[in-house]
Amino acid sequence: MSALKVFLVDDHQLFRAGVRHEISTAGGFDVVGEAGDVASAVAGICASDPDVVLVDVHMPDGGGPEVVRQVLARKPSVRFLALSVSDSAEDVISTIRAGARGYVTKTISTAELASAMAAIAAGDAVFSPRLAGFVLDAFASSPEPVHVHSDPELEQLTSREREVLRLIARGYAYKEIARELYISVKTVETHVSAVLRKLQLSNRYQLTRWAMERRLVPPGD
Amino acid sequence: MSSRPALRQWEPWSKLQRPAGGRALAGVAECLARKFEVSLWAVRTGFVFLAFCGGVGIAVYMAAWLVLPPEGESKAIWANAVADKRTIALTAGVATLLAAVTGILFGLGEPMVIGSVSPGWVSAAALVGVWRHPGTDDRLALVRVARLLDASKEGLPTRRRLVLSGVRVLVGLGLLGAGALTFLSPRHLTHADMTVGLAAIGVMGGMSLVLAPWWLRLGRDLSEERRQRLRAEERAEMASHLHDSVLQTLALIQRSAAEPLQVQKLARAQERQLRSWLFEQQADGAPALAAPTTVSQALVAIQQEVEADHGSKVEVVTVGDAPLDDRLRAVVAAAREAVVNSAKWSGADAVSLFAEVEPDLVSIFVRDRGCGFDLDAVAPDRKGVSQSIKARTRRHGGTATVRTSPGEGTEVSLKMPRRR
Repeated sequence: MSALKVFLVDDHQLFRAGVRHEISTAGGFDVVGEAGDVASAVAGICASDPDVVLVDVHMPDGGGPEVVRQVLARKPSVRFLALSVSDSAEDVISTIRAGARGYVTKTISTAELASAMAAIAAGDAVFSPRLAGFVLDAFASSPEPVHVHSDPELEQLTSREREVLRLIARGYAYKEIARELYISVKTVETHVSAVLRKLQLSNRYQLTRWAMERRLVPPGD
Repeated sequence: MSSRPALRQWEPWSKLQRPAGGRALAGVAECLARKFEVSLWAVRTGFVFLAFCGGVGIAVYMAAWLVLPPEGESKAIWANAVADKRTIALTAGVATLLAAVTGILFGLGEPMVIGSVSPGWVSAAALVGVWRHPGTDDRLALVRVARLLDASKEGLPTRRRLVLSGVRVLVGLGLLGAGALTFLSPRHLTHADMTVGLAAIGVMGGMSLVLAPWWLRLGRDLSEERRQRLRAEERAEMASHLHDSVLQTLALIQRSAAEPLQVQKLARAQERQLRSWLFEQQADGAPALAAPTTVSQALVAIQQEVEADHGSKVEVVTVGDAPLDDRLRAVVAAAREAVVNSAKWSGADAVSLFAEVEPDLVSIFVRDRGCGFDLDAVAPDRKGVSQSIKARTRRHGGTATVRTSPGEGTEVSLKMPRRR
């Protein structure tokens, strides 16, 4: 199998060097380019046609979400994995809604990062336990029909999807979830992709408002 | 004042400095009081008295402000002022205006005016210099005065703002009334009076036209100054925080570079602290440790404690939240025990801690991918699981189940119905 082409976007040069070193030791990846700001990232990604883009959330000029948005407008096939030190709900939600297919924090281990990148490149979604928790939280409050034109399917999670998310939040890997629920790994992936789609397309206003509140109000106040 | 230590030595004039602290405005009185070893209030009273003698006190004060260097700086304002062309031009402009006013008033037969001319000039010139080249502490004093005059400033409490506006309006009305009375009362209005009035209005109008841009700029400079100071304070706070936490930790990490576990532990604890400081804006860095009041805070406290004490990473995910009551406290305590067990015995480097708060149920799951154990083989004298986790949860009406087998990791599930 040929090596996966990876593109790095992070405004910290030191961190890019670190990740580059890490994924080269993991094997199976080929870093085809890197960029430190939005404009050069968009140009570089469109030129090098990578299998997966590792994108930082916090950068000048709109950050990771802006890179994702601009690239997807030109090349919808590019797949993004957001990688950030911030795990605040607003960052997570805005990056995913911009079009990233997964979100992991920078403290992730090399092996986990490698498997997350492989999953993203294969078209799957990567949910960290924290992201799963955010999604459960965001969809937990009773859904209110917001727009007349909104698709009610998008505004709610099925009980199966909820179960899968709960297990992810509890620290289960897809394989373990499959065994737990007596379903195939492929089905787990289907559920997660469905949740991702709802997360990106749902226009329930609570999602954004919830994320904002979550950021502005420290838990419990 | 008596609390101030008197200077032993008779200091030469050239060594006089305006003190940075304890000053009312520029510290001139303070400085003179030290020099002559007299009471500060005596000097101040003297200045006020002289101020009523045709403004001499004000002139002397302003001149001293200009000439005496502030504490900690070698140059007096004077030295900076003469080096700046714009200050000189401005001083010349103000002096010309004053001369014009004096000339008009004198020409209209007001001989009294001559007496106050020179102090007025000195004060005005000095004020220009001081305003354009203040030292740091002078700037603060000026901002203080400007704040007093500008009662609309947002920072003040409403009552104080009202009082200040009231005082300002009263003083203004008083001055206006006094002026009108002196002008009108003892004699009849003559043609000359009308001319004086018109001339005064003309001069004042001209002055405001000439000086308005300058005043506006001063106001802007002052608020810009305040913004910069706020920014500097923020930076200083950030720097001191980074010094207290991050730099100390980095030093510790360098020293324990040979022990990867220790390094990891330090880095993790520091990350946690910095993160909560940056993103949750809680100044002390470890707020949840103090006294958690909700489920999510309590879980973060567990995370911090276990990561610091046992070096295992704890990944906390909370869905929903609720204030702690005795039931929830019990289930959280049971969860803590489970996390500590995992960190101590499982051998896994990470523990997952997941809590979901629903309207009538709180579920907490503690999971590791470590060695697991044989539930039936636990020695009866090992009370951890049976007492701290199961019995405690049951006592409060909840359930606890442990799922484990050797090599399979462990998951403790805790369910606690909520009091409604």
